[in-house]
Amino acid sequence: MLVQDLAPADLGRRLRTSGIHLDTGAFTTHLHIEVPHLVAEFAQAYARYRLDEPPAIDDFRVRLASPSLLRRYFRPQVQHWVDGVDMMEPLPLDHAFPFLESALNLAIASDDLAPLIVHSAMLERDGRALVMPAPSGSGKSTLCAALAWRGWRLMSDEVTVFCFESGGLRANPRPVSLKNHAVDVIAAFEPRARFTRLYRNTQKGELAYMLPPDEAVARAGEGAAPGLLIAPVYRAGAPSSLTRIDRVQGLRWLIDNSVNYSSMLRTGFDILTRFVDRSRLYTLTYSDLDEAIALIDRLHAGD
Amino acid sequence: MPSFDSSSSPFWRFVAGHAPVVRDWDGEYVVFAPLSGDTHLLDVVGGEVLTALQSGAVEARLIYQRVADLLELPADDMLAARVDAILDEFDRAGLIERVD
Repeated sequence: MLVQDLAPADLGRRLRTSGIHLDTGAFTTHLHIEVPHLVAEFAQAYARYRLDEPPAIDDFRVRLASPSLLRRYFRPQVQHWVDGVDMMEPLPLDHAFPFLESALNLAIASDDLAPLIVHSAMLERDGRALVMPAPSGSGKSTLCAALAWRGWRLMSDEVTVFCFESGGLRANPRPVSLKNHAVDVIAAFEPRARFTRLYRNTQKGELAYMLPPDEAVARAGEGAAPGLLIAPVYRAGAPSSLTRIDRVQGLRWLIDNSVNYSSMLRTGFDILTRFVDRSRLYTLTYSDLDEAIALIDRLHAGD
Repeated sequence: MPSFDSSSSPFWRFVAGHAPVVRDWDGEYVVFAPLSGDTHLLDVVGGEVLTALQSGAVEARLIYQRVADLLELPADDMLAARVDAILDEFDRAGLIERVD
């Protein structure tokens, strides 16, 4: 069953009461939402996601609600709880959807039992992964969103999830966070792209989310083998260029962007070194999406 | 003062039960230290020093000689001092221990 298979009233009731078990691929979240307008925004963004029914074991429990009845009428806010703990200061109620996305990210980052996680975008083509580890502001999400409409399957905009057993990668496609002018860039780049509404004055500036292509959501259960690791850097006006990096540098990129490498000990070392051994490693400087994608496509094709 | 000509020098070995995991990537080495949980990056000299200890306790002057032979470096006291500094650093990082 998909989220969209539930009537709006039924979805709202379930989110308020028993919660739903949202399957995003690598993770299942037991989700409660007690903020009425957020239910509609959630239903739009997550319409094609699978509900885990009957539920197996949830990876996380996330709840969003207004902090108190009094607060609800005086400058209304929203609070979230991850596994029962309120981990961030409440935000204005109007930012409930970005807050939900943050909560889902935070749940992954703070879970002691999570698999090895690297903060990076990840896409797939022909069974091979393209992993793009990068800090905020590097243009990673914009490039990821564009690639998702040019033959690459979106696996995740935020996290690369490594499988303990195989060292392969697991998908967890969720709405792609685009900041400030990146929304206009992707809207102009791809007419089929659909977005949430614009959220103004958030902690990250102006923000909207690109909804993953339907195929990415439908194939959320499919993983990928290591293929390319490309660390992107957006530089206005710069010609697009790829530079090969050595394995030590590639490993550094991954470790520096990992959420939980240090707690994984030997397992983390083995997974990442094996991944580096099996991947081709580059940095990419770009300013033009079409140029950047052409370079990546050529690499993937083996040129 | 370390010397190639010393008749004796200390023996070193991996910390018992905590042998590091070493990957040799074209002359650069990445090393996982089980005792600390840290990952280290070593140059070729550090990597060869660590590799020399993989068969068990080894006397320092034999490590000097091995590094000199493998890397075709002059077998002099400067190299011995460099290897000793690396051994001390490995000791502080919990990778190796001195055998008394």
